[in-house]
Amino acid sequence: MASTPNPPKSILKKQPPTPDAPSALELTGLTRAQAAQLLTLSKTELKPPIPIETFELLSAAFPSSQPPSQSDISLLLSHLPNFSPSEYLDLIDERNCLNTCGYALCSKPRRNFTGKVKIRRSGVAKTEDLNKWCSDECALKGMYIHVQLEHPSYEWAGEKGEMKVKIRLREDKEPGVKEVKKAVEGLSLDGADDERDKKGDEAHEKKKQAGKLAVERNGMGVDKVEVTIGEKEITQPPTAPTFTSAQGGESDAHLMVEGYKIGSKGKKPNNTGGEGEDDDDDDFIPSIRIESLNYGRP
Amino acid sequence: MSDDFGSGNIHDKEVSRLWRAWRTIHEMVADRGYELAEEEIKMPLDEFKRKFTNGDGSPNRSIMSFSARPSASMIKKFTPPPTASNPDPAPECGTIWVEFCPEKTSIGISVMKKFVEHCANNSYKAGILVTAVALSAQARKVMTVTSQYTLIECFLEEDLLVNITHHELVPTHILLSREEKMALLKRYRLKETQLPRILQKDPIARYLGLKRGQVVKIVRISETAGRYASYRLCV
Repeated sequence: MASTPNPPKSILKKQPPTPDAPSALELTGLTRAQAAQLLTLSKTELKPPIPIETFELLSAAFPSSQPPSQSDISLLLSHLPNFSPSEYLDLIDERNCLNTCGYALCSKPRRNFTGKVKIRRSGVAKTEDLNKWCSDECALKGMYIHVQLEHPSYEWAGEKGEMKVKIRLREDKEPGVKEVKKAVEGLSLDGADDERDKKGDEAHEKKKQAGKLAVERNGMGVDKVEVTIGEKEITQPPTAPTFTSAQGGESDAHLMVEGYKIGSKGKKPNNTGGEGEDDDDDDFIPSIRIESLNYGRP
Repeated sequence: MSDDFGSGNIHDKEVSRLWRAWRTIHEMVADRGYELAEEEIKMPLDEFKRKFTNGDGSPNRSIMSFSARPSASMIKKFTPPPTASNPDPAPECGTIWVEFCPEKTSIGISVMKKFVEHCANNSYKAGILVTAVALSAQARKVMTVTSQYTLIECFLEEDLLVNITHHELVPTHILLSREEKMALLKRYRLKETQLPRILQKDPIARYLGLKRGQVVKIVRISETAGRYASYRLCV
């Protein structure tokens, strides 16, 4: 044992051969996963801060007309994807500093409630929050954009292969029942002033369209079907239904389940012994198998 | 308190608050080494009311602005030591401009830009804007971005109601010149980073307008040693 010719074996693990030059990844000290994450982040999350000029552009005297022109809308939509949620809130602040509504496409002055809180139909709201906007509708529209920035859905932006946050503007509110009712009232009053006239015209147009639709639905739609409504005469008091003899007769009524008598036909007599039962079972199962096989091969 | 409610004018409270802010900002400017007349710093409330209020007693902030030139000792302190390449260096301080912002609701980019432009156009080396309400986030950004040439600072009126340096627990802070700082580091064989630190946003650092890299000497009263001096590097 003492005179073994083998040299002592190292207990250390064999080192893998070192690469010639460290890769770029190793130089930055990042793992592959981290690098990949950074790459996706650079396409989505990591954005340079918005320059102050953009804030000025979107806050001072923007939009130039009311309702906003198409160029104003496209300008806003081109800038918005670069905003972070907090920067968007800054923009609202900045607009409020100039006393305009926080929604970037509204040039009206913001509300000016006093006091700390205000009771509204939806609950108690801080006046600080209410005063950011000119109306509840603008608040909805403004926060609609904020939500999209907070939970961005990305889309590919053109040839550069960059990810861009998809921003949609909230549509104007559609006229509700109240507005239509008002419009109809305006029609009956012969349109004393211009505003009424306009609404009356709208209602008239709607009526016309409804008439057309009706014609379209039932052909030329002029012929009417004669309908006469008569009363059903009752001569005697109602009685509970009874089983007729065809269904099993009165004597078997207590054995019926939903009109079917259990245990009358197709059931074996139960006087066979224990052994016989076993044989029966054994025979029964293969017969099913054969049947099923026959079904399988037509 | 009874005076605030009793004497009738609703603006009295605001005016007296403004007067205290006015006095503190003057003391601050004087403490930094600018030249100010004694009667300007210690203006009594009556005179302040007469000068800076409208007919109905409401304060007129737009006429409260003032400027001050650095004193000889301050110029000396802020002049870097002459070198071979630059035998006659220019002092790093200049005239200061102080303005009270009349805006009462909120201060945005436009107000801030106007102030910065005014400072730059009149070649002021430093500008202080005293506001009644907080700046918006972007206005703050304008302040830091444009402070390459002009040093812009902002103070809230409510932060200036009391002069913090007059509090008994606040020790004296003295700004060291470059030469004094070099001598200190040499004397104790220190590197800059080995000094204790003070934040730039520290109330005293803001009061003195410290920049990164400047050193203050803090003199405390000590029971055993009489006076105890320590030094802090502004970071």
